[in-house]
Amino acid sequence: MSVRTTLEGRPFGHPLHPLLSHVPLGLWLLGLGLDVTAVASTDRVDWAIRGAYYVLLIGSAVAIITLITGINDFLDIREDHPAQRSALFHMALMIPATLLFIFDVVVHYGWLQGRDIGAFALALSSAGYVLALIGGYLGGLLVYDHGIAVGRHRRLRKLPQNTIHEPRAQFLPEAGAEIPAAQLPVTPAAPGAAALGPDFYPVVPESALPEGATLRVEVEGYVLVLVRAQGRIFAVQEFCTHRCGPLSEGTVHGINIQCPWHNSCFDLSTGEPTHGPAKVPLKTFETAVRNGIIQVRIAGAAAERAEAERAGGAGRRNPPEPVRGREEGRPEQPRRTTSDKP
Amino acid sequence: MANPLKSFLLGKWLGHPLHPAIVHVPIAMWVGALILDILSLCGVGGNALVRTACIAILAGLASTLLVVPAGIAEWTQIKRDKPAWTLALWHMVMNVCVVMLLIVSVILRLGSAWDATQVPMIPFTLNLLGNIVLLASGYVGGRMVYDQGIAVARMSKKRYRTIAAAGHANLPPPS
Repeated sequence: MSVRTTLEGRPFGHPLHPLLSHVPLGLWLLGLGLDVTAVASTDRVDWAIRGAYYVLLIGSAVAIITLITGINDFLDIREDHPAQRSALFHMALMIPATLLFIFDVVVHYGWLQGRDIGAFALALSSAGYVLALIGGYLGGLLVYDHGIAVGRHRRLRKLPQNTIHEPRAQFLPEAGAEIPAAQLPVTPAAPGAAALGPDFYPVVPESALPEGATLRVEVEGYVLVLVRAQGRIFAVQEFCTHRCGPLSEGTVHGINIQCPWHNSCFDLSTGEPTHGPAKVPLKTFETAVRNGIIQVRIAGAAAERAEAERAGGAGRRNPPEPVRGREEGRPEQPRRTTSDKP
Repeated sequence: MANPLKSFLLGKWLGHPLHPAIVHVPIAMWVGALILDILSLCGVGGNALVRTACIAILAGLASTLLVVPAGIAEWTQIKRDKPAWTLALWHMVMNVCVVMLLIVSVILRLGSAWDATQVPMIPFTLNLLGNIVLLASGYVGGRMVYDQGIAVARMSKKRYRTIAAAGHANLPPPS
């Protein structure tokens, strides 16, 4: 186990960051309560100041460890994940809160030495706690709204760090560049590829998907997960049919993929649910490998796009309507290929 | 939600499940009390830390008045045949043990808390035992979220449904 997976808590089967966060959030509150007691009392209550000093010191020390695990967890969130923003806000509140409380500990030390800075200490604790409360709320939403770190310990592999968005772009040659034949994109014009038809989209080189790995891919508005299981390459929809959890962050068991959130399992070859709360099958997509490049068939998408381009030019950016059951009988439209380029 | 009390306890008003949000208080109070006890036994801090530990345990016990009903409300949301239902039962049994150990610990320390510079051994031992059970119980509680997904995407399911629909996915049946 690497340092990073240990900091994530995968060996313990429980993420470390939310576990550690209990200590500062609770102890800072106790420190705040003791500050209120000390400031509100008419006599000097040395025990409350001393108590607050130690409690805030322990809380802030644990907060520093919590911060390290939190930054480590942050690095694991996919770049285009909707939680990415919330995680940034969470961090932008928690780092100042921790710094405020560290300063607060120093101020408490001065207070304890007899300086008359009780009101300032209380103000610092209050301000720090307001930041920590809002930050803590956002941190909770990362788990309960976005499912960050849920089911992560079951995964031995890294989570996908990004969505492969414009899969063909990386295969397009730069102007004037010589492309070795082996790296040429698979298009209807490439040898042996014509039989695949225009609905096949080259996605990634085969080497990008080792056994048991998952990749999150978006093709023509369709969000998919590519999986290699038992030596075969599968493409199914990314979203679980229970609460729409991210299957690309799930675990592969034999020919099944398990959702990280509520443990629904699906047969990758049929998309049928095999276990857990999900009842609706996943959409499955045909895959093929040509010239070392994995291709996915999005039935009807090419025709949809050609039609949209004919109708309004900018159609490529607009995701097509769902095409379930509509692909049959459609005339095949040739796709734009690299060989069209000068 | 038909029952406004249950809806409150589940944290619908907050947009965040209530039980895991407020458990920070008793957990930190009791872990903090153990650390303070150890410090006072090591001769650090003197009577201030004995008093603070006593207050921390009492504050943690007071917070259970809200934490326990919120936890029971969460438990009623779990279907009987799910593994999480049994985990929740264990979680609850262990928490009852923790609360009882700490009640006895706080009763036994109340008499000396305002003068002693070190916590007596019996309340300290009970606090230590309580914290060990608390660690196990908190771990089980965390597993319910991070391994079983309890309360995950409960309040965001509509948003994720929209995201999944935009990605041309087959969707869960509307609820």
